[in-house]
Parts: sequence; C-alpha cells; structure tokens
Amino acid sequence: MRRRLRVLVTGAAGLVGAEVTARLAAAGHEVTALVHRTPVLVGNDGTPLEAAGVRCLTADVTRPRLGLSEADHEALAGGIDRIVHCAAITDFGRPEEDYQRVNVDGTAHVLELARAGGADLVHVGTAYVCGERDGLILETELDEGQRLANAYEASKLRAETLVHKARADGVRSAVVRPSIVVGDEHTGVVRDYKNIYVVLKLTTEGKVRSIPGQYEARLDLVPVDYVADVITQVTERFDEAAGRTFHAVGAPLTLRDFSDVMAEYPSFQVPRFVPPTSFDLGRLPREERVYYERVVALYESYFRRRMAFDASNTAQLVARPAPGGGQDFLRRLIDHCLESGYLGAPLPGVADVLARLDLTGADVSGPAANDANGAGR
Amino acid sequence: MTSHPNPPCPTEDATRSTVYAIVGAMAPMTGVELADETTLVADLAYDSLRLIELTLALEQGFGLPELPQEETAMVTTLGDIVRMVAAARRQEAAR
Amino acid sequence: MILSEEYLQSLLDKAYPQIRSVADCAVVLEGSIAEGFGNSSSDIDFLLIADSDADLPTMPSLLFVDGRRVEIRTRSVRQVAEQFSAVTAAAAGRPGAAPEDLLNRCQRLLRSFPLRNPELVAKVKGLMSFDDFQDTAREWWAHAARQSVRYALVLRQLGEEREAAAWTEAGLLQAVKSWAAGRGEAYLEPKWLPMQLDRIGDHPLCARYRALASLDVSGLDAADYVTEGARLTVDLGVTGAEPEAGRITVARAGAVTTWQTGERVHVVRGQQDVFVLGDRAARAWRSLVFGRTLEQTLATAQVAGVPQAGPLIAQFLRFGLVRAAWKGEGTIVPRMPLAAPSGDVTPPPSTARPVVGIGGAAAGGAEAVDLVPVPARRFSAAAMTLVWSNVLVENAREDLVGALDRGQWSVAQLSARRMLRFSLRGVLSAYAVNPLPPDSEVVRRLSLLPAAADLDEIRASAPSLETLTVACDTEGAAALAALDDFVALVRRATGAHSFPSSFGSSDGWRQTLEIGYDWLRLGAHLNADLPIDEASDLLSSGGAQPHATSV
Repeated sequence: MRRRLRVLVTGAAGLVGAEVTARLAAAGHEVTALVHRTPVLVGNDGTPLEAAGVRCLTADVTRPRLGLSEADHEALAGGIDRIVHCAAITDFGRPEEDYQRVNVDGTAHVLELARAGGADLVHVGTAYVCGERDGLILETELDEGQRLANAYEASKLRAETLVHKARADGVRSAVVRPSIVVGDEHTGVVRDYKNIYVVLKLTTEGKVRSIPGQYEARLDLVPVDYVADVITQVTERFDEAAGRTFHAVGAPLTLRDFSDVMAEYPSFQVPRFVPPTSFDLGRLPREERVYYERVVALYESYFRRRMAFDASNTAQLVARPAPGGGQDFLRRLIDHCLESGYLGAPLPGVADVLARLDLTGADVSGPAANDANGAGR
Repeated sequence: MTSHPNPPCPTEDATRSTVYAIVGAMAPMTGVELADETTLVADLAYDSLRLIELTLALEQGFGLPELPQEETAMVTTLGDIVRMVAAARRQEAAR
Repeated sequence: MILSEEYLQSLLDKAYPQIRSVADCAVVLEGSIAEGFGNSSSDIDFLLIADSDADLPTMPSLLFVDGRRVEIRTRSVRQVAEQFSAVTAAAAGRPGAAPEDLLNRCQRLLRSFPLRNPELVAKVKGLMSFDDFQDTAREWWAHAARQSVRYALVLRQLGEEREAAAWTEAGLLQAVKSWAAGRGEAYLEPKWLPMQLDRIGDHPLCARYRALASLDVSGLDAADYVTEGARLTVDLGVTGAEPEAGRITVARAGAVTTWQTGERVHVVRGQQDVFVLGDRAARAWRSLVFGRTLEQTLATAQVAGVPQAGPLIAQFLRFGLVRAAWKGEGTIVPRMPLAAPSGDVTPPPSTARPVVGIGGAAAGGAEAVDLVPVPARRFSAAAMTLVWSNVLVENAREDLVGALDRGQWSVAQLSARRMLRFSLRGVLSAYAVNPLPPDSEVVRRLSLLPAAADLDEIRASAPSLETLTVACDTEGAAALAALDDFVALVRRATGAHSFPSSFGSSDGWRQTLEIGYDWLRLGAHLNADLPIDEASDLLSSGGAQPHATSV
C-alpha cells in the first residue's frame, strides 16, 4: 500500500475533477475537493460520489488566496501534500477575460498555495496548447511559437508557462495534457455533453450541413476514465513524474472516420466537408449561419489540424494501455448519446415552434429562401 | 392573431405571454408550469445549444435584431427573458 | 422397428465386404428406422465405430443392397467422444450455438440399435447421458422458436401479417420440437414429428399444436394466429417471446451507411450494394434510431409524414439494411427449421434508366427501395463524373463564346468539339458507363446505350456535331445554337435539366459545388476514384468559380 496522501483537487465538481477525486478517495487518500459552487460531487456516470475520505471546500480560484481568509489559506496549505489542479474553463466562446481569470489567474493562485505549503502540483493542461502546429507533438515541447486557435488555448499555454516558471522557485510540478475529453472507453457514458458533442448534435440533426474542413484532419478524442487514471497515477507516483509532461490522448479520428461512422446511423445527416478556402459563411441559410457563428466556428481550427500527439512519457509511467478503438470508440460514444436521448430525438426546430405559435413571417430572408435544393438535405 | 404585435412602446406585460409561449414551446422539459421564477436550465432542462436556439426563436418571433451575447449570457429565469426582450423591443420601437 | 434384426444383420453381411472395415469395430443402425419411424423408402444408416483414436473419414459410403439405399458412416471412439464434448461445450455457451449436424449425429448414435459388438456400443453411449442431450436439444429448439416467434411479432407490428403467420408456423414447429425433446423425443429432423407426438400420447398440448400447426388449419386470421401461436409457444415451455409493448427495438446492421445527395437518399450495404429510396421510403428510413422501440419508430415516421411505415421498415429488414432486436437480448436472427440461417434478401436490380442523375440514382416511385444495378464504387464514380461533365460543358461553352467574340475560329471549333464530348461523357455516365471511353471514342460508344427515343436522337445528331467546322461568324452562331440544343437534349435525357441555371449565378455555382461535395462523401467512403483531376482540384483546393469574372 502506498503512503496515504493528503490531496487537494481543484475543479472537483468538473467532469475530470470528479473522476480524479473518486479515484484518489477510493485508493485511500485524504482528498479535499475544492468546488466553486456545487457542493455535491457527481461521477461521470451520474451517481453522487461517496463522501468517505472526501472533504468539500468551497473556494474560488479566481481570487487571491482562493478567496479564503489568511488563516484558512494557511491551514489549507499546511495540510496538503499534493494539488491536482483541474479547475478551468474548457468550453469555447467565452469572453477573453473569463479565460484569463479562471485559467491563468486561477493557476497562479494555485501555484501560490503550492509554494506556501510546499505541496507538489499536478497541473491539468490540454494537448491543444500545441495550437496549430503540424506533425508530431512531443510532451517535452511547449512554447514553439505556435499560432493558437482561440482564447482557451492561449490561456492554457500561459497557465502551463506559469507552472514551468514556478519550478525555478522550487514548486515541483508535473503536467497532464488531455486531448478532447469524451465518454468512458468501454461504455461511452459521459456526464456532460459539451464541446464535440454539441458539434455532433448540430451536424447529425442537419442544423449545420457544411463544415469547412479536410477529410484528413484529425481530432483526438480521449475517454474521461483514461484521463482520470493518468492524472491519478501521476499524482500517486509524483516522484517519477515530477518535472515531466504527460499526454493523455486517445486514438485520433479523421474527419473521414467521423463521416463514415455518422453515415451508419439512418437518422443522421452527414455534413459535407468543404475546403476552408471555398467556405462562405454569408451564403449559409440564416439559422445555419447562427449555429455556425455561435458554435461551430469555435472549432473551425480543429477541422483543419492534422497533428499527432506523442505519449511516450505516459506509456512509460502508466500501466493502463492507451485507448484505441478508433471508429469503434466513436460508435460507442454515439450509441450512448442515442441511449441517453441526447442524439436521435431532435427537439422541434425554431421555425417549427414559431409556426406552431403562429409567430412566423417575422423575417424569412437570406439564402434559405431561395435554396433551390431545398432544406430537406 | 397578429404575427407582429408592435405597439409603439411595448410593456413587459404585453411581452410576457409571448415570451412564455416561446420559452415553453422550445423547452426540452414539457409540462412545467411557467412563472417568472422558472429557471431555464434547472426547471426546463435547457442546455447551451437549446439556449442558442431559444435566442434565435425570440429574435425571430419578436422581429428583433440579434440579441447581444453579453445579455443572453446573463439570463437564468423566465423573468430575466421577459425583461431582456421588453428592453430590446423598447429599443427597437425607439429607432 | 419396421425391419427385423435378422434382416438388418443380413443387409449388413451383404454390405460388409464392400467397405473398408476395421477389426473388432462396433456397428449400429441409426436414424429413422432405429427410432421406430421410417417406411419402405427410408434409407438404412449404419455407423461403424472403431475402438481407436484414428481420424476416420466423415463422408459416408453409399451402397445399394436389396434395392435399398444403405449409408455407412465410420467414426473412431475418439471422434465420437469429441462430438459429445463439443455438444456439451456448445450447450454451455451461447444458446442455439451448437451446429445442427453435430446434434443430429449425437442424437442418432445415442438412440441407435446395436448390431455388432454391443459392449463397445454400450461404452460409447455411456460417454454422454441421454438426459443431458435431451436438455440440450430442448434448449436448442427453444432458442430457434423464440427467435422465430419474436420475428413474427416484429412483422405483425409492421403490418406484414401473412409473413408473420409463416414465421409463427415455423416458431410453433420449433417450440413443439423443444417440448417433445424435453419428453425424450429428441430426434432432430422434423419430418417424423407427427409420429413423435403420437408416441407422447394423448396430451392436450399435442392437440393444441395440431390445431395451430398452420394458418390454414387454424381457421384464424393471420394476426390472431400470431397471438395464439405466441401463447402456445409459452405453454410449450418456450419463454422470451411473449407479445409485450416496447420489447422490440431497431438495431444496427453492420456495414450499412446512408448517403444523401440533394434530396435523394442512398443506402449502401456492405460497401457494395446501393439501394435508392423513394421519398416515402426515405422518410421512413430517416425515422430509424437504433435502440428505439418499433412503436416509437412508427410514431416518428408518422410525424415525418409517413403513416403506415411498417411495410417499408419490413422491407429494410428483409434486405438487411437494419435489424430488429429484442430489448436487452440482442438482435433477432430468425431461421426456418433445419434450414440455413435466412440471409439478407437482395431484390433484382432496378431497371430504371438512366441509372443516375445529378441529384442521385433513379428511384421507381415514393415507396421504392430499389437496388441500383451497378456496384457502389462504380455508381459513385459515374455520378461524380456526371456532375463534373456538366461543369465542363459550361466551361467549354464559355470558351466557345469567348473565341467566337474574338474571331478565333480554330479555338472555337475545338471548344465546340469539347462541349459535345463533355456532354456525351455525361450521357454515358448517367447510364453508369465507367471508366469512360477516351474522348475521341465517346460518339461511337453511344452504341453501348440501350434503344430509347431520346438516346436515338442523341445518337443521330452527335456525329454531325463532331465534324462541325467553324470558320466564320455565321458558322459560329449556327454551331453555338446547335450545341445549345444538343446540350438541352442531353440534359433532358439525363435528368439534369435544372443544371444550366446553376451556372448563371454564384448561388447556382454554390449549389453545384454542394452537390459535388455530397457525392464526394460517398466517394471518399468507398475509396472511389475521383473522376478526373480537375474534379479533385475542385473538391480539395477550394473550387473558385471558373470564369467568375464573366458572370
């Protein structure tokens, strides 16, 4: 039996944070679960976490001393061996300052706590700090002057850079970089339908029909249970992990894989992938344009990238084999969405609802009205 | 029924019934009694995508220009929507 | 037995010299006569059992002795033991997994009549208890019955009552075989079932089975017959196929994909067969969601404007485009008694012509679930070539107009020829000719196409257009007019009449590209060849509108 650790998990109510908390508690460690608002921790499968060995603490990473009193902060710092920093905004399209406050300032505040208590830090970053670089991305690389696709990626790069700098003042740390976190490797179960799931919903329901992207572009989806396992291992075996970075990534899927798997579901629409240079937002029907602007556009860069993530450090440290499965895994994810009703049972569209309420005639305009090929596609 | 109730200075009360109708018809959860305190996410099971669609429905249903995301992001209850739409309509009428 | 032991011994004596026998082997009579069934035309089946672990041939020897067909099989004790343990292993695994021939061999041996070396026969029969075997046979039949009756319930819910009744008949036969096996009547083949039931004696279930043995005998209507059949199945001890709302769900059939181009829905089976759906069929197809119940599926179809979608969904099932499942217990795989598992039906290929238009394959009506008459890859390649040929026609026409404006007569003449040939590429592609003959041959290769009024007209005008000369304004104007007429004719004949407008505006161009991208998805899925380099350029590099400045 390993030594019983006192671990603080930030963002413990989040998808990854809750799973990490559950694993550390199950392994017999004493876990302080830092939550912003939600006092109840819910696992990925939707069941509340058994509280044994877990103490919930309400705090705010965006504030100095995590919003705690000096005394509380000192007490907290003195009572922990390790910090797993999961707290972050991971969805796209938020105002720039939100990312700065939570992802960057939050990391700085957590580093202060680590410094104050001499605790070790496991920082949860993202594999996509690589931005729009091409080719094989190594765990040892961070700032290569890459172009970043959005404010989220930029904030995570700044945060990870802070973690690196703090090593100079003696804060020992390891970084785990998950790719796109999705449902369980074997069951496809996921608690929150975010990010890629929203794009899946919009496209399969035919609300977004054209996506600027390339069939060869690759999206790396990683099961949440695997990510939590990697973080847990890195936390428990910190002495081996210190100073290193671990890619927690899955089997990459090309857009062609997505297209082929989506086509296996009779009710699904399959988007057409249009070369980015010939994609014209202004020509989309109004509703599709709004969906595009407010959701899909945030992911645009992901439909062009073709990088691959090297995960040698993870393979060396973590016993569990890296998830594979490719198309089968995607099927499992989608099948779970059908089971849960997230996909396959579209709610009535805006036009239908307004027609039913006799509120149409407002502004039917834009290319939709003269789409000679019909809206039925 | 007029598809575009567009009085010179729309009041919240005049807006309320149509907002209720739209929010109710768009809601993932049906059969919930609506009040100004009803919350979109907890009571009516709106998710982020459906909230975007609701915004669209409100814009189109009331013939409003695009509602700014800073405003829509602050909305949590039906009452918030009534106030937001009424304000937008007053602004529209003033133009 | 209908034959005496002395007679059997004498038959064996006569047969023995003709076969390669083994010293000290045992011989038994097995099969229908040993069971006490049979008639004057029944075969005589001998099994020789060698007390060894040799690999003896499986194929029987066939002899004619005394005007009777005599079949002689050989097995070593080791082979018999292996058969028995294979049955035991199969019974412990997935229900219904034991191969039928294996069960048959074991049953026949266990119920055989010894003719030589009775000690060895007893030893061999002692390798498996008949009680265990009888349980296995009962479960095996029960599994088959369950699947058949479940499938009958699926079909009834889809409004296919007659077919449901046929599967109920099959299921009842399997269920009564299961019941009989549980009472020791484990002889596998159903042909002696009446005698098996007679031996069981005066049992109310026998009587009920006889009254429901077929739809005709029952005097019921098909839907009621299914209900009664399902009830009797339960009473015969086969559970798990009780009619119950919400038990039947829609399930995935492997390697089936859906591709829509424009309004047209295509379903590709096994990356090979393309089915094209008519409008109602397409909407019914789009209502299928894996895991949803049949009730929900039919309701969804109704909302989508297809009331009574059942028969369409039944057709999808027959063709193996989708499966039905029994909630929580996997896909329903029905099979007729002692027949090979029923495979996916493939209808005769569609005779609709042309095979493919810009917007998709030709479908023969709203309810059509038509098999496209060419393999998927060629279909997809031909369709992409068709789309692209129409783009090229417009391209060549613009070149022609430009050359005429500037009096570049030989350029104009070349462009006129290109316009003709590109349009003929389209004609050939619409009839799924792919790869295309070289451009110099396209006029002559119109001979590949069938007789039809519009095609005859095309064949009649093409040769003269290929030899048009353009050397002055008058000839140029005449050539342009003639080619425009010809292209219009071609587009009428290939169902692309709406196409020219696609080039009149940037909106039209966008729609053209969209259809191109729609087809590209299928092409990418099938790894089909992109028709020509220009098309791959268009599809991968951005597809700026050609001659955008002139529009």
